[in-house]
Amino acid sequence: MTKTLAPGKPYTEPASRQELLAAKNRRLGLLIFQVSWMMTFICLSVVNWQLRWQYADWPPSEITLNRIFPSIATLLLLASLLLFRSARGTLTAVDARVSFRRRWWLGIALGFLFVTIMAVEFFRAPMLVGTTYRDVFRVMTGFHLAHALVIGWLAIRVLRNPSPEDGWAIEAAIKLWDFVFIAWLIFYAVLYWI
Amino acid sequence: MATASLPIRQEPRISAGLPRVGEFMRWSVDHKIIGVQYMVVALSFFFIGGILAMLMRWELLTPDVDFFGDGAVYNSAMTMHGTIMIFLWVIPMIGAMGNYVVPLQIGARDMAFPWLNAFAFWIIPPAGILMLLGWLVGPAEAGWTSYPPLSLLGHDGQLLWAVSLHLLGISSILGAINFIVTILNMRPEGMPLFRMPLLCWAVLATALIIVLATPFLAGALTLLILDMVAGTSFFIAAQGGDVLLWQNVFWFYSHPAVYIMVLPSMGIISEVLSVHSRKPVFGYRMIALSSMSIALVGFTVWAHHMFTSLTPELRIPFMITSMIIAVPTGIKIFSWLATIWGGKIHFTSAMNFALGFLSLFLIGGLTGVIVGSVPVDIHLHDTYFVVSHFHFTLYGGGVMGLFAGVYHWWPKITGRMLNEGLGRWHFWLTFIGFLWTFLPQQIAGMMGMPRRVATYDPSLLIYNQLSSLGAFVLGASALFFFYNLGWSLARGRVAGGNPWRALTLEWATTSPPPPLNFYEDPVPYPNPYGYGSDAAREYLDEQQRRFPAALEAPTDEGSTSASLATQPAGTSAGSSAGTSAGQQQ
Amino acid sequence: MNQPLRRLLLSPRTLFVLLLSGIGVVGGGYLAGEMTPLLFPAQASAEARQVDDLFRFLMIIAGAIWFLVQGLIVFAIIAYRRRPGDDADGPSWHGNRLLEFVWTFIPSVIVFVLVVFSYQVWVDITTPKADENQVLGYDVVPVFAEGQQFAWRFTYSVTLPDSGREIKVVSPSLHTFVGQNVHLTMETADVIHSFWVPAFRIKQDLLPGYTTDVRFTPTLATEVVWENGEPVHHGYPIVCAELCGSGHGSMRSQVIVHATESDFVESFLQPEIDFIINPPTDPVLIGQKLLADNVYGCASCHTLETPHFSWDGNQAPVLNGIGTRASLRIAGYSAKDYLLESLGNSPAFLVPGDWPAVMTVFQAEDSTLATYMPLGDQQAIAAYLCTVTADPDAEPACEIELSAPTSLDAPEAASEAS
Repeated sequence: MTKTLAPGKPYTEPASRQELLAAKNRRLGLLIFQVSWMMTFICLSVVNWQLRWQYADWPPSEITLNRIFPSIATLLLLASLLLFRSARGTLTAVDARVSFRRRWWLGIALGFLFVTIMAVEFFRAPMLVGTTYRDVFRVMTGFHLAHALVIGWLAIRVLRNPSPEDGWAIEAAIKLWDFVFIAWLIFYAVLYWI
Repeated sequence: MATASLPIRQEPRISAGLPRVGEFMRWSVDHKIIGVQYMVVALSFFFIGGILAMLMRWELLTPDVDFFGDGAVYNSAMTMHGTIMIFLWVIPMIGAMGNYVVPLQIGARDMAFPWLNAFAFWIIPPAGILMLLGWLVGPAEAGWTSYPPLSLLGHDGQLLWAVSLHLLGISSILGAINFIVTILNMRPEGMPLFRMPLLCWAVLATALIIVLATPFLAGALTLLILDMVAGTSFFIAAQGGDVLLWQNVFWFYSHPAVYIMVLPSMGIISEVLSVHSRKPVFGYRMIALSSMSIALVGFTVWAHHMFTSLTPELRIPFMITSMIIAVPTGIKIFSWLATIWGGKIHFTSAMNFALGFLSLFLIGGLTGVIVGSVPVDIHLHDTYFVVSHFHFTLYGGGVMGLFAGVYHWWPKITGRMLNEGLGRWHFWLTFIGFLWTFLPQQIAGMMGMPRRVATYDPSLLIYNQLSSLGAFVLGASALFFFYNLGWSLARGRVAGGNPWRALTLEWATTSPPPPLNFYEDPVPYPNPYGYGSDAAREYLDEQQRRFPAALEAPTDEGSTSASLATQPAGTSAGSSAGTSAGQQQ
Repeated sequence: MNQPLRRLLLSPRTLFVLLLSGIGVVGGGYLAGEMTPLLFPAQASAEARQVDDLFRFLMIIAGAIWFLVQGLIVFAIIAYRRRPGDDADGPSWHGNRLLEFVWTFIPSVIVFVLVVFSYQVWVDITTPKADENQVLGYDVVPVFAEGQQFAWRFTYSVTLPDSGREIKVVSPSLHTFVGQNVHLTMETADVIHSFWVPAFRIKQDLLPGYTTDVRFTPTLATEVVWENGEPVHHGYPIVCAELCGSGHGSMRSQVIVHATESDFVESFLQPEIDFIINPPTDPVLIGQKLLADNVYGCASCHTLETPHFSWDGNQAPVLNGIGTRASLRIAGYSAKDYLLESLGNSPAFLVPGDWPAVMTVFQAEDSTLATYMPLGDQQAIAAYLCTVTADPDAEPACEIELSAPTSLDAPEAASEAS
């Protein structure tokens, strides 16, 4: 099956029932994987919740929680997600290749900034007094960081593929970045606000 | 008119026969090969876990720690026995049955993600070896439940145990994703959800539990491993950790895990009871829905494993949820009873094991209700009463169901029948041996024998000796099973496509099926359990007539009209040689 | 419902069969319930009586259901077996709304009843009672249990009425009396343990980082047997019910239930108090008491057989004949020096070998730590061990004088390894 970019269409129509089924399977499979893997994030949030009942103050009183940087990071992550999505939207435009790449790269850059900020938070954690608080904080931020890095690398790989018209790679990368964002929202709320 | 006594004897014309042994030892994305690979690995670990059980019961013949010499060695045998039986026998065996049969039952060529299927399987052998390597460095000794702080004081084998379990968990999640997508997306036109076989319902419910619960096991193990190697203190009370955290997170997975282990067997039982008593499944819809509700409610009961450690105020809510789950379970048992009621029961080995399941799981369920009551569980928790209860449900239920499945589908998988005589020996030794082993344990538990001990009060001697004798009988029964499998491969009678005259789609092809499962576009019979009607009888007769023809010129994947040319004119079931060409992949 | 089925169900024969089966099921259930006393140890507490009643009820229900379902299975196997030559399929029954409703509704009702009954018993068992831990003449005597790998220790906090001095009586067994509303608080020294008294039907885990508690009221005194002219109680076993390591199976103790409160005071509490208030001058006797009461947990690991007590831990070296060996083991060390050094600086002379347990390093400096053993206690214990000679009639291997306060002397009461 040849893949041709028809004007006005985001990607080629699947030619056969098999391809339709395969696409349907991929989507459902990724969705279920994400729901399942989200449970690990919920598990860590529950861990956070259960451990804090041991303490009178949470965070321990010696710590002043800096919410500015993580909030900026959150906004950066949201922006990068919106950029990825809009990049996909430009695939129907006339200068699809160029605009797509531009936005996608910008999204990656912002994602990279997010990762940097959170890496700093992760490594700063030793300054937090109180062993269990630090342990939980690092496990949560570290776990999320690891995921952001792996999925970010997948997003970069999309561009190495000479034909970004491959709908599935882009679609999957965006869905996974959605996942990174939603997981981050949960952690952000549990770590910094609740 | 074809004969209908089971198993029917067909002309010995098999299409492709079993692939060569080498095929099974290599990476393959064919779900049938992967299914057999799962089975071989699972049965091997069943053997190892069984040997450990025999050693444990040998030790328990006397009240003192004499055979193992040391309570610690006994603890490691006990830990590995439990872990191996759960994660390397029952759960992979479910992978075996599900992988082999589900795609066939829904008329698919393979699973939704064949590569992922193979990948998920190949995680298991190294993970299993990693677990066994624990014996070289000092094995895990804290029970399969691995409660800290005890598990944090263990040898290096405890770390290997945790890593191995992590890998096994990942394998099961990947497999479950495959099952859900396959079952939801790849059924044919004539098979809406409420007309698919109950095994598929059971596997769907099981897979849903796996994807939602196993991540919690991953979380718990990750924290445990960090505590072991990274100096964190999630479970070290002196440094701010909480031992109850482990118990909650661990049991949030491990309770649904027991439903993972028993639901597929329940699906198998629905199939076997129906086919071998020639009657429709009674209350199909309720059985399907009760599988789902057990899966759902199963997430709300976990702390009944913690009735003596949980904050007292929280114990009653978990008692309520635990009791509630008895209702859908009871619905199933009554439905199965009604399934065989009034039928024509063929006492094949598969049926024997299915009936054995009914009797033994009944006791398991009833003892479960007993320990579900908090005041009574305060006395019975962590005693041999609980050991007996979970063996009744997991062995008397889960494993008996798996045996029934093997006896039922072995002809499809290998093209050969198992020996019924050996099967009868296997069944009766299992059934009698099982009761002999585990009934005395109930009394020992009530009288004061705790779990996980190599030494006990001499007044409990008689119960332990009885139990051990029974265990040796149970162990011997497995030998008959293994021998039967080997005998069948060497000398078993050729099975033909549908020896049980069953209506589900896996029987509408040869035994074993060709690489892409079907010779034509499979059209499901409208009711997978529609026995007793004339239409069903005609469908089966027609199938038998057509089979020899379809077997004539087989083997290569693209074969279309050549193999089907000899079809009698005006065949039923709506398949046609022409369209099938385009559907071959 | 179809006609033939209807006729079948309402025929006299069917009704007779139903009646007979009904009797069988109910009778079977009743018989199952009657088995209850045979399956449990002595019913020795108020809680036990309630739990047994609840269990009996559960057994009746479970038994009836078992007889019903198993009976139907057996009936079906016999009645509906395929006769030779019968190649037809069975009837095409797919379901029956009424039947399915019945077997959903009735179990739901049963479950509801069980939940309510269980809840009532639970509330009864766990509600704090009046006058907990009261002992005649001493007001409230809280009792505290500690579990460690692999022994139990019970501490009674007694406030002397006249002087107001608070002393701690330590015992390896739990003493109580008929009718006492016991409220036991518990902590663990290391891993999770579980305090289980089968005769009382009560169990509660001991969790690191938590102080847990359990309540019970004994109703049956323990049997008293006369041995060597001394009354000996055959206590109800205390069993550890949570895997705690290699010695989990041997982590046992006993509950001694005195028949009356005055007997409890006279034969247990008072002598213990007297010993503390007026300790004997002979350090050997003090050492004997410290070891017999397992104040420092030696019994969990060591084996030692003496006329006064018996330890059968198998995690550490056997101490029989230690008095004789003490002078021979290390060149240049007399028995007294060896024993004192082994207690005060235990890593010094550890016996080589792969022992499952790790010897506690006792110290006499910091009394807040769990490893605190006052110098006087070390001397007393060493003095006693000197009398543990290989030949029971031989002279003690050494004589030690007390030159420092023992745990019995300290005004803030004995601080044992807890």
